[in-house]
Order: sequence, then C-alpha cells, then structure tokens
Amino acid sequence: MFGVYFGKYLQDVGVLTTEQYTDIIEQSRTARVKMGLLAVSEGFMTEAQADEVNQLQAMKDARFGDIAIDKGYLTEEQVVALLKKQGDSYLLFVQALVERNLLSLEEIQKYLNQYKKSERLTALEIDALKSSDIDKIIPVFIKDASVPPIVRDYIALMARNVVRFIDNKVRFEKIERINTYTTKYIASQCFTGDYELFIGICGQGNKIIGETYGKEEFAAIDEDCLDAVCEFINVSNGLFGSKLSQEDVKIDMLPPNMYVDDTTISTEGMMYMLPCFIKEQRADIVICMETKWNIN
Amino acid sequence: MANILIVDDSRTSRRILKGLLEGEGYTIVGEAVNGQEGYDKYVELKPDLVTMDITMPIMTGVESLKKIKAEFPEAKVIMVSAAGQQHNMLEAVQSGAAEFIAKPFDADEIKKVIKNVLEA
Repeated sequence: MFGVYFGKYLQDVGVLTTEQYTDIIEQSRTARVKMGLLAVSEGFMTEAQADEVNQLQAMKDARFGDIAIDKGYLTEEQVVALLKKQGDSYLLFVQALVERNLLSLEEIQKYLNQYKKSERLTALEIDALKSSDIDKIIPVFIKDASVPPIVRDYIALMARNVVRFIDNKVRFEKIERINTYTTKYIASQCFTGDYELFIGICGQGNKIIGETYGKEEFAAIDEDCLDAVCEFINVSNGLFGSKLSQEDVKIDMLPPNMYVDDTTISTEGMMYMLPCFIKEQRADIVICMETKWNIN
Repeated sequence: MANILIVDDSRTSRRILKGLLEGEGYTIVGEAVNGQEGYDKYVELKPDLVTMDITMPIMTGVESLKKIKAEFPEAKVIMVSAAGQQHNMLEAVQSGAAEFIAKPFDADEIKKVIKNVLEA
C-alpha cells in the first residue's frame, strides 16, 4: 500500500507520469494473494475452514489471520509466514520502478527522504505506511489529538472495510475538522442511542464504491448507485455496532439516506472529513457527532 | 420449488438476494421495500418463506415479523441484517423468526439456511 502514497508523491513532483503511476499500482493490485487462498494452498487450512473464517469475518471486524488463530486453525507463526508470502507491497513497488528503468535504488532512497521531509513523516510513520497494515496506517492520517476516540475507532473500521470490500490500494489523506461540507452526492446513515452519529460517504468516488460493492455498473451516480453505497455503509456500521455492543454501548442504526442534488451538511459541533482516493476518485468519509447537524 | 418474498429497503440487497435465490431454483414471488409493504404482500401472496431486513423506514422488519406471525403463526420468516443488531435479533427470535442471515451475503450460508428452514 505504501506504493500509492510514495507513488503519488513521485507523480506530484514530476518523476512519474500519471500513466506510469497508475500502471504500477494496477500491476501491484494483482500481485497480492488472498490469505485464505494462500493458507489452503500451503496446506495450513482446509477449504471448509477458510470458508468458515470468511463467513465469521462478515460478522465481526477482525482480520482473517486473527480469526483463524482464535479458531485454532492457524498458529501465529503460520500467519506471519503467510503474510510474508503474500508479498511486501513496498518491495513490489520498488521492484516495479527499477525493472521499468524509471529510477535506480539510489534515486528511490533520495526521493524517499524528500517525501519524508515534505510530508513531515517520522521514520515510524514511514514504517507504518510500508507495513500495509491498515491499523498502523490510519493513525498517520489522524494526528489531530482532539479527534474523539469514537471517531478514530469508526474511521479505522471504515478504512478496514474499504480495503476489504472495495480496494486494497485506497489512499487516504489527513483528517480535517470542518463546519460545513457541500457536495452533490451523499450516501449516509445515522446512529442513535448512546451515541448520536451521522456517517456519510460523499463525492464522485461514490461511483466506484457503488459499482464495486454492488457488483453492478452505473452510467452515473444515481439513486441505484448510492443505494449500493448505503448498503456498504450499513454493513460497516453493523460491524461497528457489534463492536460497541461488546463494550456495553447501545446504538441503533436508522434507515440509510441518500442525496443526489447539491447538499450542504453543517454543524456547530464536531464534524470530521477523511479524504480517501480509490483509483484516484475522491470519496470523503464525513462524520458528525454529539450536536445536531443540518442537511440542506 | 418454494416461493419466496424478499423484504428489504435496499435495491442492491434485493437484487443480490434475488439473483442468488433464483440461481438455486426458487421463485421470487414478490419484493417489498418496507415492513408494512412486506406484511401486505405476505397477506396477498402467502409465500413459503420471507426474507426480512431489519432496518427499514415506515415499519421495521421486527414489527413486520410480529404482525405477520400474529396472524399467520405458520409463516416462515428469516431475518436479514448487518451485524450489530443483537437486541433486535433477540426480539425477532422471541417473536418467531425462523433464522438469521448476516449481511454481506455469503452464498453458501444463504443456501444452507433457506434449505434448513424450508425443510423444518
């Protein structure tokens, strides 16, 4: 996943063309094998066990490896070995740059240092981005200490679900606190109960999310497309609700809503926006909490 | 093969579920987009089985289930929902729901659950 961040930087500074960047990312998209498939082909699990773990993943927000360990199907050592076999995405990215004679290893190191400086990233944050572990990556984009834990937790879960259901090459940018947000396309759902939350996925990126989740092509972002995005939000919110209920927090999900005309969300309270780019189409995850929000 | 009524406010969910069930040879006799419409269509169509979403506008799936079971105790209703609806699920089971299917849909799980409920 580091390739999408560093690659975008290389594109922004003119080292890679948009076409070269897209091409390398698309190539790396197919280079990663799914954990379940790998575990079965390595003889660590039966196909039935892998199917069972996949089904359990639908019910709770946990990684394949963690569930398989809990069920006693895999050992921690086997999970580590499978992750290694899955392929180091950073090395795959470096390999692609070198093989295409776009950059030498020395030049890559030079630009990597420049990237660190320009984005003000620490060595630990660079390691997090290189790890392909979404749980380590997301905190890099939520540095603002004022972001409430519930928003952090929700963003982390939504990011995991974008990676799991939509695109494992998604690129995030820093979270922003905002008071108003205007866009043409919004798929949303509210929570009520111990927490009052508004969750929206906003903007042009709804098309690729709707098409990928709904497994259907849409000529434009219409109500059918946003309905598919609403289902994606609903499933993600269900996993979030399930996690909260284990902590004795009670919330109910309200029926999803969609907006296809120019719409403004505004609040005097807390509203956060996390930009995410799926195949370079921007979709903002917007969360309002605590105080009432207005949608016009 | 059995006749099935799908009740879900999401067009996407109805489309995916319909495709899966028709692929297994079942007949989808009707679709409804909220609990009230689900009840009305149950009365009209008397399907062998209903798949019922929980979170819907106008009337929730649990309310619709209660209404159907009060009048037709033999009705077979499978609740369909994203995770995180534990208290609603408990209420649904106490109100006579036959089974539960989690979203996102797993084709093998759906086939197994529906077959079991229809054979019970």
